[in-house]
Amino acid sequence: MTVRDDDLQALLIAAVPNLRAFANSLCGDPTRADDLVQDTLVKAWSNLEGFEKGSNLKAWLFTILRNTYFSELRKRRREVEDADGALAERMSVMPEQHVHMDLVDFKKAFGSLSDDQKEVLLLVGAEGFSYEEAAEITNAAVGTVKSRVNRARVALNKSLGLEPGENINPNSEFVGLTRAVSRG
Amino acid sequence: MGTGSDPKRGESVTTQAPMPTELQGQIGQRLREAYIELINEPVPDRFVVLLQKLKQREEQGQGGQS
Repeated sequence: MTVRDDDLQALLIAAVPNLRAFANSLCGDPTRADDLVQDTLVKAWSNLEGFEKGSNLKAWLFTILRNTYFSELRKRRREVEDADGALAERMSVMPEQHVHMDLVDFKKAFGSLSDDQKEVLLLVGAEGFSYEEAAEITNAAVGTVKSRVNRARVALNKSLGLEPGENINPNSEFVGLTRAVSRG
Repeated sequence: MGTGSDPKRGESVTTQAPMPTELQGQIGQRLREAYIELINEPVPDRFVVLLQKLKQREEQGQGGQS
């Protein structure tokens, strides 16, 4: 019952683009994001016993990544003792490369969300995890996740000044797109 | 909605009713656009190399590891 085989290696590799996107969006620093992904892979590899076979590998990996991120953050915060200042600093935006204005604005607005809001929005809105899965990943109650997502949306909407009626895509319920892709 | 109570974090934004689906759609669309852009970035070799190493290390150290 070797779980650690080429399959697993391939599965982990396949998850890397999503892990990087998530880490990047969360911390806003590509270098740090890649370090986070690396830590995640190493932890995942050495803690495979902690992974329940048949459960969602991606959710497990995301859990490791966000736990790593937040525990680092707590460590830093303790070091800096300047929670507000550190917070403001961390609210960096996602890398801005070759994007049109809409997205630049969006990234700025996104960057000003709290980490709690960012992560649930990413998990539910971008990755397509269910509220229940997101709750498990973030170790929060489902209701908390829902309200965070909603508050994140409200905050984004406010800072983007979006009006109902412009650029409507009736089919785009707020669900993620990458799940189908990444399951290959 | 019974929310707004996360005192230790001070999530102070007032909670409101879920926003109209069309607004959610716009935000979701932008979020996904931004995100897919990140996903589409090429994966640096370091990750492939890393997993290769982890695997090799394990194959060499069969039995003697944590």
